[in-house]
Amino acid sequence: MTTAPPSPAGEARAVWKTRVLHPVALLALTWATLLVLQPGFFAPSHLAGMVTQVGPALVLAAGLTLVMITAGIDLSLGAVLWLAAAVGGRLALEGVSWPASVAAMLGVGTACGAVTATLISRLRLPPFLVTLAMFFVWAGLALEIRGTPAMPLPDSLPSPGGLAVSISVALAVLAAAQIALSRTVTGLRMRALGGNAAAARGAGLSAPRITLMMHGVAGLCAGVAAVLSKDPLNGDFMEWGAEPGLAALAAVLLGGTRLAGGRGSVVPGTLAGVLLVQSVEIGADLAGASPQVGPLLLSSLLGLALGIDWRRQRAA
Amino acid sequence: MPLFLLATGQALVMLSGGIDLSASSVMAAAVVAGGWMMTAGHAPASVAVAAMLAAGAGTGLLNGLAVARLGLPPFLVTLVSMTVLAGVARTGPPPPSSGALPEEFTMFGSSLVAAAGLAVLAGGVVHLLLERQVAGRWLRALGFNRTAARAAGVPVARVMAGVHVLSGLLAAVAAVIHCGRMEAGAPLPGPRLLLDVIGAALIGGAGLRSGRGRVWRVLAGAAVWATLDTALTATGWPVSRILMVKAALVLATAAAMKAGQRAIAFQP
Repeated sequence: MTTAPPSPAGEARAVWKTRVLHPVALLALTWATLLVLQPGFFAPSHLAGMVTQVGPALVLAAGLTLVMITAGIDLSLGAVLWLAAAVGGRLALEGVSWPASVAAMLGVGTACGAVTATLISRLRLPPFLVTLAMFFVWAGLALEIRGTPAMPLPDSLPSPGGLAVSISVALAVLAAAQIALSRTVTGLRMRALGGNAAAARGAGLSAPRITLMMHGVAGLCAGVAAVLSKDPLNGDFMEWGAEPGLAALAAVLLGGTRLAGGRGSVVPGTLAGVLLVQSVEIGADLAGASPQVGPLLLSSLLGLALGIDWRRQRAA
Repeated sequence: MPLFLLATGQALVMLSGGIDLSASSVMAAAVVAGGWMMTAGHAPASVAVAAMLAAGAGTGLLNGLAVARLGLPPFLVTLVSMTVLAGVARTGPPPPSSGALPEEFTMFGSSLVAAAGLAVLAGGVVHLLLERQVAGRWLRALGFNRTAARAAGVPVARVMAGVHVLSGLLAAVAAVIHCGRMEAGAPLPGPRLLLDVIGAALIGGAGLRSGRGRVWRVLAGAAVWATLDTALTATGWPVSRILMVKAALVLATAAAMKAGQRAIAFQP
């Protein structure tokens, strides 16, 4: 590890590095690249397509951001989304009215998050191990409810309103998450716990309670994302590449939330991260990449995000 | 047998306090690559085996460097290599049936004696490494308390990188054995094997910063999980339900190990 002597030039370089790694700068860079390579990306129809897709991804990533700022992680959120969607689809088949279905989907999401949090706190196991196992549990439950082979689900899940509602709900969730993070005592506690768990505990914070709250909110967000998703139930549940959770993870990390916890933002950070991931995916699609490349692209983005997180950590 | 090899590698990584989520995908990618080299490329078996082993060790080296040098969390690093390799294995050509492969290559998998010999050899080497060599001491010290190990002069980065390389290498050996038993069109061992591997390594006593774990216990763990897998498959349940049960059992095993460990050791 060679640390440069604190020369003015070195300092300027460090400042430049933090700026160029800022999520918004990364997003601008991505868009500039797309402008050169794929000018068609900026056609109104494609932008509109992106806006329709981005709502659920934003909500899912906002919930994950909150978990990760407390230095936790949740790999199961993609499966929670499927489970909530499967419940919603089943209820819709039974002829339940949409407000009741939506309430059930949100409830399922929150309950999943609460169960995960309880397991993490009680068993004192690493969050990634618990949430990795819970991924298979929730996905398995979702398939039980959906049935194999798939039961004929209604094309669109019970969703109130259309695109405008989806976008306004997503933006409202983002705003609420950011305000909770930066303007409330709870947000301060979350950042304290993520920054230094031992010190936060010494200061009297209850780590299990904050964990419960954050995973509960993340589960609720997954439920909301399920409500907003157009067709969340297609695709192979058990294949890793098809997991929206991975996309959310990459987006949150690219959005500047530290893997080590304690620092990060929903707006502009995660917002920029989600837009970046979506832009790259759409750009690859326009370039004629086959859908099978999707998982590869996603994992490369995740690897890139890890590298950027490492640079940010060092620049700080 | 492949499960034992994968679980041994996993146990080594878990002893260092990390985890290797990529091992089963390394195996899948090696199966696809090796099969392609021998059928489409007409490469001799020795070249294909060497390439598979090199690919496994190379992936392990990349994982190890990212973990040891950059200080990134092992589960995320290996999650990335897992998804990349699983994607490669899926987009690649389907693996041929073992009948299409050269005989001197498939013998490792088709003949029980050869497969068992390979597994005993690999297990024996790892056992000696763990129990009789300084490196084994280093590894246990590192997994138990990294700061103390570094202070005591353990080359932490080298040991961490080393266990990942070994894990990748063992996964490639598992792929060689698997190739000999493949039927055409059979699904690849991918993330689906992941829970078995972690579960077997957990029963092997490795993991969760225990500093414990022995090769013969991993063998027992692999036997337990292989039995479990056979029993669950025999129920005729869908894969998703089997995975659900296995995931719950992995959690229960981890929790039981943790509880047992808390009873005898201090809590860091």
